[in-house]
Amino acid sequence: MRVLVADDDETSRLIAQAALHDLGHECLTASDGAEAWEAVLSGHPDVVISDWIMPGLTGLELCQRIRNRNAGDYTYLILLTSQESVAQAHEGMSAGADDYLIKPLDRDDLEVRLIAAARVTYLHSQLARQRGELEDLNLELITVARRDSLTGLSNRRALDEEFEKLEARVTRYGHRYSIALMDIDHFKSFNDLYGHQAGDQALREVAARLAAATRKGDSLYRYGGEEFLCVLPERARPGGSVAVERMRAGVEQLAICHRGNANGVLTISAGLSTLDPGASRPVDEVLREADQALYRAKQLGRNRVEQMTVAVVP
Amino acid sequence: MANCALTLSDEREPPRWRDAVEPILDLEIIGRLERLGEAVGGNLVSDLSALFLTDAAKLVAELSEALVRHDHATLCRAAHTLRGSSANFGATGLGRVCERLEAVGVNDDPANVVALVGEVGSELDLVRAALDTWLSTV
Repeated sequence: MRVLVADDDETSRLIAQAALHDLGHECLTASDGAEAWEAVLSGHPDVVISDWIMPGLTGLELCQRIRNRNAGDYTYLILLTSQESVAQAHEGMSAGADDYLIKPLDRDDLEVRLIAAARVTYLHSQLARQRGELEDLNLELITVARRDSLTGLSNRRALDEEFEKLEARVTRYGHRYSIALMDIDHFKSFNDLYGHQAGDQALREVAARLAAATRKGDSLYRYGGEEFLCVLPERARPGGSVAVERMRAGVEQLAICHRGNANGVLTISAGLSTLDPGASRPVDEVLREADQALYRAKQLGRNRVEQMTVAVVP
Repeated sequence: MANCALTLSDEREPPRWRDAVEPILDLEIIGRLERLGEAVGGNLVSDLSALFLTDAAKLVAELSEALVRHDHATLCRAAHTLRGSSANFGATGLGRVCERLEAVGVNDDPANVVALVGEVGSELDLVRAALDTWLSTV
């Protein structure tokens, strides 16, 4: 271990240094409290053995500073007290010291105390490592919880969070967004005809094709069972519908066989709506409009893109 | 113990002589340091004694100055430092006197304080002599 000895008395320091070398530890020294604090910050000792009374900063103050510093690595603190000062030991331990040694410093005594110090610092380093692992795991969970495991797309939870940001950007910065809601045509019958495994595979392929058709800045979500949603920033209606039409065509070109569908391959229908800054409508309403447009696309024969034809507020 | 009768006759002072149970040098502590020195390779005890005697002499000078200036804080601090290094070095008797000096109050009888500082000086002389003997025999 790396041990810092803080003592204003050079004789004491020399004895401690000799004892520590004999015990196989690395030894740093400081001749007053301020120097000790510097050494703690720059030398990162595992253990600090500090005298009680020192110029600059007392052992107690040093103790409090070390405990209040909130560093990742734990510093084990041993206070040196005079023989008769049980009160000092009590005060020191209450201020955050882990142990105390009575002067004069004895090599064998020190050896015993350092066994405990090694154990405690090891436990603290283990704890810090586990805490780090837990944080990594949490970050991973946050990502996992926002991703659809089947398609690898972002899921509904991620979309809900995105919508909050979206509304803020529309009201605050006047950004414009198009929202496309897409649904695989006759997907229930696809599952019935080819089985759920084939259904899952089709969902994956459609998702991959839609993702490939999105532009940088567009975000694609798996909205529900066979529904997908795409947020297209800064797209006025014509621009938005061109992009969504590309997606629709892309899925059709996959040519996934679907006997239950009119043209024999798997297709999607899409409904498009726009979140205009001038209109200042809530996202929910825009979503409802996209849903209505999607319904109309289904009504008009599927495999097509429809958009809301309400008057645009300038 | 030769000066016992002398001190006893002094009415201003309580009887004071070296307490037989307080050794000038605690040989057990010196022995431990000796073994430690052997373990790390070096003349630890002779290095330490040189250091200790130099520091102690400085501190005794500080005590005398503090006494003249009636600087109670410096007096107590110097006594504390000397007590600590005496304890480390096994100079038990010197440590005890320093402990008494450290405990004197601001309003204590100055004569008592003067006597204690004097005692620190003479105790240090004893330690120096004892250390010389020890080092010459080892």
